[in-house]
Amino acid sequence: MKITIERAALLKALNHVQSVVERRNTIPILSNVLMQAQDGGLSLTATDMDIAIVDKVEATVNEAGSTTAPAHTLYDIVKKLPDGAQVNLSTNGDQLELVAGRSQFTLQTLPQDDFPVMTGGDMPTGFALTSSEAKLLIDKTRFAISTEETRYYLNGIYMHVAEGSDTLRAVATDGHRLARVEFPAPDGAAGMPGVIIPRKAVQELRKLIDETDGDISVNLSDTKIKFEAGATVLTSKLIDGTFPDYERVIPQGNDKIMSLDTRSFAEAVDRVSTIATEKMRAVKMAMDSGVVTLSASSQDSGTAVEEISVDYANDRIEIGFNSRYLLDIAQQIESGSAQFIMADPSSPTIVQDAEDKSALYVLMPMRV
Amino acid sequence: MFDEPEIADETNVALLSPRDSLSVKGHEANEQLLLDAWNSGKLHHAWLFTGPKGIGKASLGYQFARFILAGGGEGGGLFGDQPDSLKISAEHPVYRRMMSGGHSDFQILEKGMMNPDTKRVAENDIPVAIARKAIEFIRLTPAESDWRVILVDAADDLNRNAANALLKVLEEPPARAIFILISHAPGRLLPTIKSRCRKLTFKSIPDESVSELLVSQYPELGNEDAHALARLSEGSIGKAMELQDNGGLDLFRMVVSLLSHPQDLSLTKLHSLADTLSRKDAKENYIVFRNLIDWWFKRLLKILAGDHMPKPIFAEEYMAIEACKALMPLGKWLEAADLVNERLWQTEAPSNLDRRQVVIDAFLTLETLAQGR
Amino acid sequence: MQDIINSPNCLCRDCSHIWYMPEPPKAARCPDCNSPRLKYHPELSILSTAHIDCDSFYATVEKRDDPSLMDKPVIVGGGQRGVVSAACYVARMYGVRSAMPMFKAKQLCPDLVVIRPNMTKYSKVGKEIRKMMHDITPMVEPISIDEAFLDLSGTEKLHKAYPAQTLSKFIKRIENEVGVTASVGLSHNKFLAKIASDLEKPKGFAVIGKEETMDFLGDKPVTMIWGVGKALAKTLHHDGIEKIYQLRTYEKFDLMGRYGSMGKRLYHFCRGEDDRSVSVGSETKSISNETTFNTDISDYQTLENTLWKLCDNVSQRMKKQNLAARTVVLKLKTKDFKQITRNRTLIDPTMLAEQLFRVGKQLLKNETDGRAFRLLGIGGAELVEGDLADPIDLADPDGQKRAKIENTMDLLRDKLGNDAIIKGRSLK
Repeated sequence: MKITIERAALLKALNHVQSVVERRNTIPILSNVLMQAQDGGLSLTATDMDIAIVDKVEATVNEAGSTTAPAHTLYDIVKKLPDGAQVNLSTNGDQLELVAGRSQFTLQTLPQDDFPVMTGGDMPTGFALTSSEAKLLIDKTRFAISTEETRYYLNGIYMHVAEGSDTLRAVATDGHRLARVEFPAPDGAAGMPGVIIPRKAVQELRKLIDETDGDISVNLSDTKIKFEAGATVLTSKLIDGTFPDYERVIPQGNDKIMSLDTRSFAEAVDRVSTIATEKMRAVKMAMDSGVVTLSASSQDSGTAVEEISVDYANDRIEIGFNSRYLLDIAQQIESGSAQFIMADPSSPTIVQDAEDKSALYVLMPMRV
Repeated sequence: MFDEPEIADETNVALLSPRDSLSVKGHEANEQLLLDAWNSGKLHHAWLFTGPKGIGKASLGYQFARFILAGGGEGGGLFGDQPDSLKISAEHPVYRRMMSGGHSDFQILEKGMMNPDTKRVAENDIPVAIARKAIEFIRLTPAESDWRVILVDAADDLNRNAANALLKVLEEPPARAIFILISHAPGRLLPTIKSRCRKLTFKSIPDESVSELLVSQYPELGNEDAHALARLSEGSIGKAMELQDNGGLDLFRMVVSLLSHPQDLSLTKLHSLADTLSRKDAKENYIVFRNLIDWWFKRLLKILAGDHMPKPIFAEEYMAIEACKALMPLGKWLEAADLVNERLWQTEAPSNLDRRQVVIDAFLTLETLAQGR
Repeated sequence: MQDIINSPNCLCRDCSHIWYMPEPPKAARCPDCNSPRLKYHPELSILSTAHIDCDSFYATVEKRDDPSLMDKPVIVGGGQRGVVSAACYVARMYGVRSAMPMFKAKQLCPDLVVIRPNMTKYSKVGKEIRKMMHDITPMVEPISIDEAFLDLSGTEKLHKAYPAQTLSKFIKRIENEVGVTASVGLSHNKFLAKIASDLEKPKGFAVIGKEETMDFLGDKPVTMIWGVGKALAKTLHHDGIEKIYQLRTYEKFDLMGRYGSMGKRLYHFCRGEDDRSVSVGSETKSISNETTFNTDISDYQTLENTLWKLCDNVSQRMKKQNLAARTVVLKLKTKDFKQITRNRTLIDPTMLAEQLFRVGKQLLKNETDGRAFRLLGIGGAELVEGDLADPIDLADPDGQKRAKIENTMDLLRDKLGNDAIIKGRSLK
């Protein structure tokens, strides 16, 4: 392998892929980045065996070939090279030589065949998401992903096409709150298997989306998912489990609707919950005609009460919620106005953005 | 169409560690059992390989893992017949990646791995943090193969919490996931783990097979010596290799020679032995030597206790045994064995005595006892 | 008892004024408020262990909420074929008692007003009362929804009043602010305080002093001793022991030899000795149930069946006290008496038998490896308010259904009696 490549491009690509490489790996091959040079470009691949990221950069390929070299070391070296440098990489036996200007480095390599292969395989489903659709899928749901390891099938976002409808949906829940976002299914998504995208992949994907304005193309099978954004491809394993039948827990007949100003609500909840302790983060919401009274109390700290004006014309009702969850959901609502659709103090409540019905949140009450 | 020459493959491999072993001699019956299980289409998800240490359990475990991850290997005819062997050639990509640790659908659990929680190497057992990583691994889909394989070498090293964590997945495994557990002492394993596995028992391989393997591994080894080593290691190829790597046979010869006249030790021989063992790079050799002494005393005691005489390692050993039998009764030999073993351990903390001194002292103590003083 | 000479020994039950009377009052009145409701006892100024017991609690609460029931015979209990949970004092006059079957109660008192129990309400009221208890002393040990031990020693400085006075004020406060009445038992230890609170119900204020303890207990039946139930009483009667004073003729070892661990308690209690302190802060620490087998059992299925019954029992008791457990504890004893405990902390606290069983089963499975066990127990620990139990889990659509089923069964049980509904499992 013999190539010449621009420092900035190489650095950017290395930066991309190395986030996936675990530091202090006991398995040498996993500390390396796979470099494949051909057809006027260099492909860089890094993996932690759950996720693989491939980035393609333009390069002058004098001799095609591939090898693997320590990712972090390579990155550190390239970072320290002067701006605008032209980097020459060539393999020599089991070493990689890097020459840039008057600096010369040799790195120990490992053969390509030792490197994990994650990116192959049949992925029959393929469709494209706009950058904003992809952002929506993730941003609206990821706060509700469960971190509890016994229910491993909740440790990700469930992406699927809703039964009997033409919408693509993403759902996440930890048992206490649930987030569901949907929009018309893009071409090619119909008939796709429902997949649970692991949290780590979600994180990496989000970073990826930030760097591109264009569409993200998605390919998946029932064992892998691949996202392509610009010159970067992210492939990930999926969670091998069954996501619960969440439709059954989304209440249908809630009839008490309250609209409020999101900001003032969030601020009030925040204030009132300063009283709440670690153990009892409950905030009581007492809804009455035109006003909701938020209150919290704790044996050690005292009490807090605050009233805010709301649009509510139904029966008086009191429901308790976990203050943290209330704030999380309030943060999700981008428009000024949020809607609470309630039933009774022991049933789940629906929260929605009054102006954007693509996202729906279900919040479990606390008994206060 | 053409059978690949077996021997050729094996000589290409530098080290016969379980991970590398291409074909495992001596356990053909077990190999067939696994093959049949695969071909039946209803492969059980958890297997427990039991038997003495070093006889090839882990080797077959790795081989089976490779076979599974390669989707059933490459044996079998042109017409897509079922595979007829677990063999996977060294050229197969699965082989390479399992060797390098870069196969995304294979996870090994063993002593000496880095504990992700404490960031230290877990020298002596398999802690729960490592078991958890394996569980997280099995909860994700495979990326390269259609299957996932977890190999535990050995299940005896799982600490209690790790065992319990693993138990949960063994009870409710995902589809197309295989667990291979190696155990040298299944009696101590959690019964609940055992009950979830299909058991495969491994017997010591016959001396013949061990010596054949030795000869193929160490071409400079003569047949007679290979046989002696095979007997010395009691059917464990692992043990035989360790002995060979540490000059065990020569050490044993020296010991036997000394013990032909325990009451009247040849000082030259004793010093020669002590010299060999006190060299700077002889740390491993010393441990092998110490284990050999321990092993031989146990052997002698069993014989004195009326056990039938086993096949001698070589002729001189037989003579040494006879000499010792005639010299002292069982009771005295028990005492002698304890004393010598105790002395030989004084190279460790807290005494930290030097090897030369310890070896000489141990044998002189034996001589004193043998003289009836 | 030189130190109590001339100490205050007479308490006004109405204004809680306390003063010294040279001899027991005959027709005296409170010098402050002129009330005739006085309590005289020589040790009034030194006793500080109390037992508070609300008077027919459920019935009182219901009467409070519906004043029209004031003078009627009211019971709180299950439906036609259920039992009486609580009987108000009017009903008691007819002979109605708690735990009595409904039909019998109706026979005794045809005009009975039956009210279905409302546990949520009672537990709320109980909480209110407990909070007020904490206002007078930190040493509160609740025994159930409407009973507690209080240790007021050392509170004189804080309240600038003797414990007896503080208690009297407390009772008044409950009456005024909560609307229920309670009886007080004041003595020098828990055992006697509890006996005392029963002596003058309702709205009683009874005192058992140190001096009179031996005499007081002497000719009382042995069943008065806490922990002596029907079975033990029978055994004692068999041995000719019917009164407490008779126990005093035995040595401690004798009693322990004959009656096991209860023997120790019998020895001390018959002398009015009880060194148990009022255990602070902890509401019940755990609720558990265990059973020792007649023959050692190693068969999993048999153990599982027993486990279910134990879980059912523990769950019922938790529900009664409106408590939920964060942790499930499994206890086993091997045939060699080796004790094994295993716990699992839950994501959310529970009071459901189904949940206890599900978790208990998992813990049990891990230990049934062929060993034989002589004892199996299950318990709920890290108890919290029942209101926090079994919240809706959005990731477990079936959870709510299971909880509903169990609640329905509980209601049916209340209605039809405990034996009417036995889940299939228990039948094995």
